[in-house]
This record gives sequence, C-alpha cells and structure tokens, in this order.
Amino acid sequence: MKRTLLCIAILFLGFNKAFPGVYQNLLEANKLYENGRFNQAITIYEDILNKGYPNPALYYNLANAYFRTKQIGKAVLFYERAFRLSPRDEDIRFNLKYVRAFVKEEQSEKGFLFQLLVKVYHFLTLNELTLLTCFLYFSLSIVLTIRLFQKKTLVGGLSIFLAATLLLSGFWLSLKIYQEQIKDEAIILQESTAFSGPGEDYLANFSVPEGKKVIILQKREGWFEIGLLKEGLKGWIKKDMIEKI
Amino acid sequence: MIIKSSQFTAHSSRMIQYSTRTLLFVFLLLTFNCTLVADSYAQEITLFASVDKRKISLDEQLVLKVSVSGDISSLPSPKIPPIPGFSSYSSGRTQNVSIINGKVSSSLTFNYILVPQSAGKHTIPSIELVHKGKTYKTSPIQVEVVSTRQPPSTTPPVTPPSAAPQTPVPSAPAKEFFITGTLNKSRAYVGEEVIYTFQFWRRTRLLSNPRYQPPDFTGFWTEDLPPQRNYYTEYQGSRYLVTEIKTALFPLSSGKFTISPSYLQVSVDDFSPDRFFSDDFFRNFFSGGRRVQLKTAPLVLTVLPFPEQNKPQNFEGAVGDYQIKVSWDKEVTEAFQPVTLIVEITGRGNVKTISNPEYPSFKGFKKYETISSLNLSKEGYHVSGSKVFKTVLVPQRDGLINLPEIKFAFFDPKLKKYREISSAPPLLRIKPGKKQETVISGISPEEVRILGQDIRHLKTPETLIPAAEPLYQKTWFIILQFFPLILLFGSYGWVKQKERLTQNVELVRKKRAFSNAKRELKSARRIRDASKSRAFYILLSKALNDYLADKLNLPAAGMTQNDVENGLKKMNAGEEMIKKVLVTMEEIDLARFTSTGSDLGQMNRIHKNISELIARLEKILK
Repeated sequence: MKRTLLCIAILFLGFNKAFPGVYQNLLEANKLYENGRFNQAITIYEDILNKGYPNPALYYNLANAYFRTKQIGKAVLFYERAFRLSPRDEDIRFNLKYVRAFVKEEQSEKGFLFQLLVKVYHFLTLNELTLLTCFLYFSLSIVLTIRLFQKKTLVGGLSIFLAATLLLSGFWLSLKIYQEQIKDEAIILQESTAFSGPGEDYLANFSVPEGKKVIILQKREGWFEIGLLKEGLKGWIKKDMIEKI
Repeated sequence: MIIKSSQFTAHSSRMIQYSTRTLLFVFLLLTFNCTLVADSYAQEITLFASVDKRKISLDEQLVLKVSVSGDISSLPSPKIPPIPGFSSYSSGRTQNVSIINGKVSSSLTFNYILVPQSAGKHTIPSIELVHKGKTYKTSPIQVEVVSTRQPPSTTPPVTPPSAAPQTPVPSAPAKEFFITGTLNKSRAYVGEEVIYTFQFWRRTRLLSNPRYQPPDFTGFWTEDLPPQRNYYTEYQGSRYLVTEIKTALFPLSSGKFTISPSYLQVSVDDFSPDRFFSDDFFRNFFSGGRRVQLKTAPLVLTVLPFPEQNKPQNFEGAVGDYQIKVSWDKEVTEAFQPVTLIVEITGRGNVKTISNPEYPSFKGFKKYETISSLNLSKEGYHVSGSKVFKTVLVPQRDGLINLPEIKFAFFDPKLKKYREISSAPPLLRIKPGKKQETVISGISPEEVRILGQDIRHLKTPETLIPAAEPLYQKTWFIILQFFPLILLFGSYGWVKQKERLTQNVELVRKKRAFSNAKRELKSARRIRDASKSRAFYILLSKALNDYLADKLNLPAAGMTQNDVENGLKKMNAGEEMIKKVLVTMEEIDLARFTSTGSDLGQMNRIHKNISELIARLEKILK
C-alpha cells in the first residue's frame, strides 16, 4: 500500500527529480552501450535493477547489452521480462522475436485465428487484466444492485453482457496468472545437458540450447526438473544453468 | 593447480644465412634448456647463473644462462660484466609466465654465447642485479678452456676498424678483412626510418661461412632489407669483396641510443704475405685456419621527439610521407545492399604501424568492422608500401550520398612538420532497394551470424518508474473485492425484507404485535392512578387483545374468547397457556367494568401479569 502511494506520489512529482541518481545511471549505461562498452553497461543496468526498479525499458536495454556480448540466453530472459511488463511495445516484441530466431525457437504457425488469439492474449499485462476484470466485476455488481430496485429490461440486458465479459476476462486472467505466476517458465542460460535424475551420475537424456524456454516442474537441491512442452521431454538440469522469467 | 601457463620465447638474434649452423645449435639449446632452475614460488627475486659445460675447447662455445625469477610480472634485467677470456654476446631470452592460483610468477632467462679467447682457467664473475634497493648476486663460475689442437692458436683477434657514424671508411691500412657498421643518419625523429648498414670487407678466402651477430636493436622497430648485396670495390689499392646487409630501424621513443657492436666470426686461411714467414705459419697450417672474431664500433643515434607545436588532433604517430585515396567499390548501389568504403594510405615510412584513419559518422548507414590489409615494399632498401582499410557499409535509405572528407595526419621528418592529408569519397548513388537479410561473410565471428537485420536500439525512457507488482496479490486489493458483494447482498436482503413488510400484512402484524403491545403497556403504566383506573384497564385490555389479534391474524374488533382459543390451539400454544390467556382476558374485563375502588397494588399486579403473559406468548407465537 505504501509503495503504491509512493508510486502515485512519484508520478505527480516527476520521477527525475525524486531519484536523479538512478535515472542518471541509466543514461550513463546507455552511453557506455553506445560506445561499445557493453559489459560495463550490463553492470550498471543490473545494479539499477537490484535497487528495485523493475522497468520494461531497463530490462530491454539490459537484454540488448547481453545480446551484444553474445549471451543469448540472458538476452532472451530479459526480453521476456520486459515483454511481460510491456507487451504492446513494438521494439520489445521485435527484439524478442529476433533473438528467438537465434535459438531456433520456432514460432508456432497454427493459422491466422490462433495467432490472433495469441496476440489478443498478450495484449494486456497481468495488472491491466486484473484491473479490467475488477472493473467488470464492480460494474456488474452495481448494475445488479440497481436491478434490485428497478426492474427494467435495459439493465437486465446490460447485466447479462457484463456477466459474460466478466466470465471471459476472469478466464483470461486465471490463464495469465497460471502462465506467469504459477507455471514456472524459465530460460536456459547456457547450453546444457538434461539428465534423467537430479545428478550427473544419471543418464544424459538430451541437450537444451541456450535461450530455450522451458517449464520448471520440480526443484531439488541444486537441480531443476524441466519440461519441454513441444518436444514432450522431461529432464533434470543444474540450477545455475537456468533462470526463471 | 595451474590455470594458465604461457611461454614466450624471444630471440633478439637475427638469423642470417652466414651463421645458420651456429644459430641452429643455439636455438636447439634454447629450446631444450628452457626449463628453469629458479624457484617460481619464491617471494623475492631469485638470480641464478649456469653454464652448459665446465670444460670446453677453444673452438667451442659456452652458453651462459642467467635466470631471474620472482612473483612479479615485469622482471628487471641483470647487467653482464665483461667476462675475462671470453667475448660474449647475447643470444636472446626466454620468458616463462605462470599464473598459479591467481598469483603471477615469472622467470626470465637471458642467454649469452661465450666464445673463448684463450686457453686456461677462467672465471665468470658474479652477475649483479639491483631491484628495489636490494642487490642480488650469483656465485662465480669456474670454466676451463683447453686447446684441443696442437699447437693452440694464440693469435689475438683482429680488432675491427672503428667506424664512426657517417664515415664508413676504415682507418686501418689495407687488411685482409674487416667489418663496418654504419647508420645513414645520426639524428632522427621517433618513427623515422634509419638504415643500419653492415659491411664485411675481405680479400682472402674464407674457410667456412662466417657467423654474423647483429647488434641488439632494443628500442627499435626493425625491418630487414633484403637482398644482401655482394660487390667488388677498390680500397687503398686493393680489391675487396664487400658483403652488405641493411636493416631499417624505426625508433620507438626519443632519447640517445647506443647501438651495440655487430660481431662476425670468420675462419680464414692465413696465407697473407705479411704472415707467410711469421712464426705462426706452421701453427696456422696445422690448425687449418684462423678463427677471428670481428667487431664493429658502437654507434650513437639521437632520437628526437615529435614537436608539440601544431600537433593535429588526429595524429596517431604515423611518420613518413604518405598519400590518401578514398573510394567506393562501386559507384551505384541499392539500399540495403552492402557497399565497401576503401581508404588507401600509400607512401614511405613504417606502413605497418599506421592506424585506422578517423571516420566521420556514417549517417544513414549501418557500419561494420573495418578490415585492413598491408602491402609492404622494400624496394631500393627503403620501407614503403600501402595500407588499405575496407569498411563495409549497408545503406539504410536511397539517394545521393556525399560523405565528408576522411583525414589522416602524419609527421614528415623531411619537412620537419606535421601534415594532414584528406580525401573525400566520390558521390555514391543509392537506388531504392528492398530490405532483405544480407549475410555478410567474413565480418562476424562464427557464433553469431550478423544479418542485415539487427536488434532495435536502446530505449531512453522519460522517467524510470518501477513496474507495479501483481495487483491480485495485494491484501488491500483482495479486501476491496468484498465491497461489491457486500453492497449487492446487503441491498438484496434489504429489498427482500421491505417486500415482505409491504406485501404481507399478516407478517407485518405478527412482526409488529409485540412492539405495539409493549408500547401500549408502557402508556398504561404512565397513567397508573386510582382515579384513572378505567382508562388504565382499557389500555391493558387493548394491549392484550391487539397483540392476540395481530398474532393470530384476527380482526381486533369482535374477537371472542372462542376465536382466541382456537387460534392459540392452531399455533400449538399448549393447554395451560391457553387457559392462562383466557383467564387473564376475563380478569381484565372484570377489572375494567368494576374498576371503581381498584387500588394501586391490584393495578400493578395485573399490569405485571399481562406483561409477563405477552412476553411468554411472544416466545411461543414467534
């Protein structure tokens, strides 16, 4: 609550004045990047992030720097994070698609309708969707309350419409929460071998390329069980080879 | 655990075909003996000297190794004192750097070839090294030189004529052979070409290939200037065969430099007329020739620094005389098609060290790395050539492109001033083209193929607001979600209640019966007075009658005792209760009609009775 208030306060006061240091750091890192000193830029971007500024532009710039230093896995990871916070940003979409091409992550081509559905699904962020659902729910409640006092057909029709959209957006929201919060999606940071169990003594099952998106299924000490949905594979890889989005 | 170990071998010795055999020997020695004696874990510097043999013959050579090792990356060099009985010359050094657990330790081995000058027991004196105020010493080494052949050669080496710079003329009278070393100038700027010429004059036959040991050119960038020249020339009435070797030197820093002597070892027949009848004749005859070590005089070169005056901004240290030419690989191209910008710098000077010219910003182009190629020429015993810089550019739009001039600055030692040359690339016409993925080969490293497409550039947001955490996880947000529900259900309940009250009289009456009765009882209590006893009883009676009528849904007026009895029975009130109700009703009626003379105590009793009765009935008749 305090944080939300703070954010609102910052919005009104102007952020640059409130936190000139961090913003200056960002500009400095951008300059380093533009001079080709990507590793130094990465250090600063990471530092800002560690101070608690999960910002889509910051994630995007960091991913760019990682891409320039040929760390594709990290680049994919941070583009994904940026995408989640700002899914309608054209640059983020473009770069994410671009780096995915490097790791041969094939884009699903299941027809126009499916693609449209995917696009619509990714149109809103988790919070925007939460707010939309919340708004529909509030409106429906109010309309129903009015309906208790005044039985008019117009209000009735509206409430049916609101109920239907609420159902839809609720479904959408739960899907999103599942995908982003419950289902542990992660990116492979380094090409690694997946074993059949949590340990190097187990049989090596398959190898996963850097930058591949996988799902974390189980966690053991130092090991993660990952699942590759499309390939239908499961295997254990070392914890530090992977990072959650 | 050794993380990284690297070995560098540096030979300052110049290999010339004269001395291939010897140098091969030295080289082999160096290669196989580079294991170090020094303790590489030592905290301080360790100095150690060793020889490969303790006993040698006069025609053999000795290899002296001086090793310096320590845990510092840049080791100092020891000073070699003059070694009596030997002439020594450096034959390179071996450096071994190892990084163990992050600690750098290195050792440096200096190799010296010692050529014995006379037989007998010689002592190599201790070698000293001063580092950070501490003096390190090696122990002296005893070496025995024996003469293998009978009789031993006792001829002292011929002192080579000392040659002053710019005066290659030997001062000694006509000799069979001598060597000279000369520089073509005594003063030069940093980076300016200086030619070192070594000449070997002879008029006798050589028994074997001479061994040439060039000077130590430390502090210079060197370029050999082949081919070696042989010619005959007249000198002091004699005809000499002169062999000439030239080396181009480029001073790396300013200061006064001394170029150490060159050496040449020759074995010659000693049938020269002046020696023919000497005592040495027979000895020479048996020894099969004379071994002579020749030496040139050291030379001094003054290297001048670059003048600070009028130093151009983009001056990167190029010295010489150059021209610049800028061109495109094609005059007309299409947008999104690669085109190469070629910058060629040609002229005399150390072309190898020319660095990239300063490029303007290529607006509207995507620029790739610049690749340079070198074309070196040593014609006329001077270093010249050209360096070509190729930059691949991909135009991002169409139109006529007129790039600004590309400038290159250098120092001209002849004019003794800086010069800036420039050339503008010709007009480039770019036709509209389709954006496509163009793979440019040979530019990108293997792991990432650079396509014509690239990632989008950085973002510079106006502000840096941290993105909000998921709302649905916030407690206040979850609590907020209950409000519409409360509103909805609250108003539903209220509406329903209202409906019941307005639409169902029976229920209303039932509901209100108790509160009405209570109210009436209250007002009766207020007029509790003997004078008003009649009104009091009327109120009490009304209270009970109304209550019963409301509860049993009967009209209050004209309600008989029978009605009450039946109604109560229907509500399962119980015999006793019904009886009590009827009795009380009768009692009130009686009191009502015979009210005169009622006392206060009786009034109170009846009021209490009725109050209790109604309270009990309320529990039953809810």
